[in-house]
Amino acid sequence: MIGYCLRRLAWMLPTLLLATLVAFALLHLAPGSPVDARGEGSESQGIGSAAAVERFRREHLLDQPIWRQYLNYLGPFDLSPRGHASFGGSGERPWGGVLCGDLGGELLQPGVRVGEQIAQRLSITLPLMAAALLLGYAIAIPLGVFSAVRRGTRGERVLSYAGFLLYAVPVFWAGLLLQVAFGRRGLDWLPVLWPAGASELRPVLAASILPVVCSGYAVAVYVARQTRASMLEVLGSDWIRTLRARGIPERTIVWRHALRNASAPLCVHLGQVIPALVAGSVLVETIFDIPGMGTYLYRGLTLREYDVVTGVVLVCAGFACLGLLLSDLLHAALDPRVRDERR
Amino acid sequence: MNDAEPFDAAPQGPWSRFARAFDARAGSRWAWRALLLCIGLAVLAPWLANERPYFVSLRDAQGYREALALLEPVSRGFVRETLAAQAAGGAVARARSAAERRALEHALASVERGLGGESAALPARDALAAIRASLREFEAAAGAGDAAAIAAGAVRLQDSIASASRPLALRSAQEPAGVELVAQRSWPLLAALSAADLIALCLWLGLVGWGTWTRCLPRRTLLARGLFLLLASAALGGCLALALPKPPTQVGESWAARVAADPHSRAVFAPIAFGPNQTDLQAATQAPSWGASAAEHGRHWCGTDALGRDQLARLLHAGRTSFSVALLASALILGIGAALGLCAGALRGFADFAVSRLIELLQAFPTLVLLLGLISLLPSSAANSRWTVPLVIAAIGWTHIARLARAQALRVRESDFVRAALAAGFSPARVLWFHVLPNSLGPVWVAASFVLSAGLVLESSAAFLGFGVQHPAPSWGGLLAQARGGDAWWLALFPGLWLFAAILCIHLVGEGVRDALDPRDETRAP
Repeated sequence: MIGYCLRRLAWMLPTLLLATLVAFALLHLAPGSPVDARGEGSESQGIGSAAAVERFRREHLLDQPIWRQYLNYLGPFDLSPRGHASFGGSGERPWGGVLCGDLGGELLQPGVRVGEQIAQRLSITLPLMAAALLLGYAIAIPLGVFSAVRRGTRGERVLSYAGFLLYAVPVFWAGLLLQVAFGRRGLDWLPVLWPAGASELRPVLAASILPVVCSGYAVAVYVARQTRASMLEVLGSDWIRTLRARGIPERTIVWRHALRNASAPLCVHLGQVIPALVAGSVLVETIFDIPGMGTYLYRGLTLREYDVVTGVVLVCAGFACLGLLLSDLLHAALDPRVRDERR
Repeated sequence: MNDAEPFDAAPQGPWSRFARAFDARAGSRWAWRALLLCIGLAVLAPWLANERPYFVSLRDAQGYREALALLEPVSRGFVRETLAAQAAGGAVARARSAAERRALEHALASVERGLGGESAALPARDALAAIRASLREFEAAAGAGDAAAIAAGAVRLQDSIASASRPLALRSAQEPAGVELVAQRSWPLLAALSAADLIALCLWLGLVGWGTWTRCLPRRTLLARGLFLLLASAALGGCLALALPKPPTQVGESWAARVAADPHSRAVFAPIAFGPNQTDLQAATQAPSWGASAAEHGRHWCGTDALGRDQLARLLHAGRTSFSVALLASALILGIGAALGLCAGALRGFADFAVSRLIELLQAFPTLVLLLGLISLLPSSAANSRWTVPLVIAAIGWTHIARLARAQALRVRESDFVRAALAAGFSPARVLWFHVLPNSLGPVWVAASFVLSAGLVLESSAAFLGFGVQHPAPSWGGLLAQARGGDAWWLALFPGLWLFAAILCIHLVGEGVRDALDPRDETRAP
């Protein structure tokens, strides 16, 4: 099992490498550069003069060919003028780049490291996403099981119509409606925007209720549908009939035997839910003004911050890969057949 | 399409069987109608919400007053430019002189049209004829190149215009001797429609009246009828666009203001007499006014935004953007995905390897992140094009369809009938086209509707974040972006409700397609 995990983790590396390469190439080959973005109306920073622009470009290797920039980004050697001695640098900072755990710096705010920023923002985004995931599964699985077991009853029909309706609600509309309903003009129960610079727990918790509900509901609707379909398939199988014939209580059959078999496909869907949550976080964080990964990506895209976008994309791709691995591991843990195949 | 017909008379192609199976279910039939209505509201948006009237009968419909005021400055500019062209020569000076000449001719023609053919305006007609005569004289002199004659001609032209100002002036309380304008009819809304609008309208009408017109034609397969509809609506829409009147001279004031200013006017406005981009800062951020006590700035069924634009008009027009992007993107996604997936699955080898790796790479990124990244990277000239967003959505969204098609092709490839066809000596291309393709596309068609709804959601998400189709074209996502913060409920409710309804209809149609294509319930999600 550990060997399998290690092998999977090792396979993630080329994928992530390719992801950085693609993101890097796309960003740097696109017309327009952060120098242009910075040159507009920022005379006070002294970037306006041609010499300053030239220095800025040299320091950030913007005058170098793109493969050299990519190697510098990737590491482990720093190729900048102050970089490793064997690549023409002065040797002050010989090592750097992604392989050394350094995701680069923001171009417009010298001194701000992207890695630290991402870590800080992940500390907001990750708990929110985890809470949304838990909330979604906690709602979805009982509902899905209920609607599969009580198939054909009135309650089940109402539930599945409601699920069909909710499935068509876009996440950002749900977020906006929650804002309207619970905001100042509505019930005025909860804060609708993130408290700026909050350090206490209480306002942060209050402000995170709506975002968690917003992303959790999308997970719940999707997972409930899958649970229902999966449970229906399992409950119709022959061995369930055998269990019933042996007189095992229905509760045990449903929750222990059927659900365990039906949850294998759900684990596979976990691999799709996590990237969808990451993408949804851009929307949800923009709506609720949360200083997380999504808004960081948004800022990086609008300001053309190379390292920010590449870094966030790298982390997102990493999460997607980890989600796939997690779903495979859970699948293997729940389904011995899969486990045996992998040996 | 029609259950009453005897079975053996009905067309037997796979398309027609599918259409009958789809039609047999009430749920999918109604969902299809609702979806057609949703699309129809978008197609008919310029007819439903427009600041231009359908029909207007106005005294000054052609801008007589403004053209008259323009005559003198334009003629002066023409004389100046002609003299400059005489003195300096050169192509640029001649071109500028010709442009001034055209402007003068345009102003004269506007005045002439405004006068109409009534004999009551005889002195005015004489004055116009005098202006034209002196204009011809001046041009003849300019052509001959005689400096003295040119100067004299210029003076005569200015004089004739100055002396025409009295007989051409509009009749008023102070000077009852002027011109009495005849009321003129025009069709400003029709004139503003583009060929694309009309083609879309024909296409939509053809879809709505499908049962009616197909009955009148000889029996053909569904595919042939669809192609006929496409071609016929393109031809009809193009002809209509050529036949309709050209837009009248643009005037500064709004039509509503001009109609209100003229007591003899008659006008038929659209049900929502606001354009999608018509701002009115007096009516900014108004809640919907439904009751008898309509707001003083006109009745806004869905309220107004911060610039005072009518939200219902914007909603209707936003459907055009959203649906056109989603439809184009899903057509491209289906084409690209099915082609690549089939090639990968049927040919195996290097094609399979390349396509599979590409799919894996694209799926490593969350779709929305990739979409935003690509759109933000494009140069602004490309980002402003209306084709950009659908193309980008198609470029990253085809992976799911390609995987489906590949899996199907892999399965079909091993089946007996394909082996039989190959053994019978058919070429691989023929087998791919006639045997593998039709038998692999079932799940792809089932997924098509979900591709459409995903396209709608992606477009709206991108527009919500400000990366969608550029302003001023409204889009549902862009409208929702105004609602952030939750201060104006109507801005959040209505666009989302519309988007929700559209997605719901598409899902329902998708369920119908799935049931019709695969009654064995095989492709249902596990």
